[in-house]
Amino acid sequence: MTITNYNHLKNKLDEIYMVNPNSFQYGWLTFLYKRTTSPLKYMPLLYIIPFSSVCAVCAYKIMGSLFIHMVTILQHGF
Amino acid sequence: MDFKVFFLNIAASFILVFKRTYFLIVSPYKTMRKISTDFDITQLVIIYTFVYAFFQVAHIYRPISNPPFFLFFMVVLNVFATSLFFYVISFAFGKRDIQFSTIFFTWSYTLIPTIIWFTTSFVLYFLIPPPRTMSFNGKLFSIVFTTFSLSLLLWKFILVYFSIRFSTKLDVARIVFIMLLYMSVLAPYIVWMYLSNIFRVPFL
Repeated sequence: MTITNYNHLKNKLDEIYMVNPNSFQYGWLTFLYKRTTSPLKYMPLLYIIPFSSVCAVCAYKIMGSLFIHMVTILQHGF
Repeated sequence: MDFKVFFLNIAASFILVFKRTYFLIVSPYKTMRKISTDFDITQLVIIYTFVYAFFQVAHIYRPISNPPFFLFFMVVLNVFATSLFFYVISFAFGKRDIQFSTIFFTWSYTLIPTIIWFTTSFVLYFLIPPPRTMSFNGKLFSIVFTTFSLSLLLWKFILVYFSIRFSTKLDVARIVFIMLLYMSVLAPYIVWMYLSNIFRVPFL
């Protein structure tokens, strides 16, 4: 049991550390990068969907009827 | 008995594909990391069967489009060429221990948002056929559809980044550089596909 737990833990750690952590030349940039990207590792759609809806509404407000025509073209895209 | 094992393996791969699709939504980082440590031909066959099945069904309802096998071939060729591109560039960056199969496998899983978008667009084309109008319902649907499309696109970008990160083990700066290089090659290819009436929206 102990050996199984150890092997499981070892395999998990090998998997976690399979890539080196990202780091930039500047500490503040590394900090900014990690703060902005860490929410995207778990349930990114919680952030993506509100962001996309805001972008869609803004695009409609800016473009108006052109936005509707673009969606018509997009629907033919498949 | 061999048939029993064969079908059980296919069933297990089916379950894995759906399970990984779900967890690519919930926790894409851990799931893509797990995918990069694995390689299963059956899962690839399942994913590309979904791709071919979509083209086949879409061709029945839109016979003016290209033959489904040709479109399927273009998709597989594109995935293969993309994987080869990243493999060669990563090799040039000094990553000699990466495997082409890992890049191909993880990149194939990034097709899932594409499959979802094309399937949904196909269904909506018949449920709520275009053109959209300036009525309240038309505007509402346009905003919802754009939100849906943009969400899938951003999710796909996240999956693409994680795919390259875990299959090539490069850092973010090099990945951004490679992606810019890839987009510079991809852009004329997308334009060519559009002008040749192969894909109006690229199946990438």
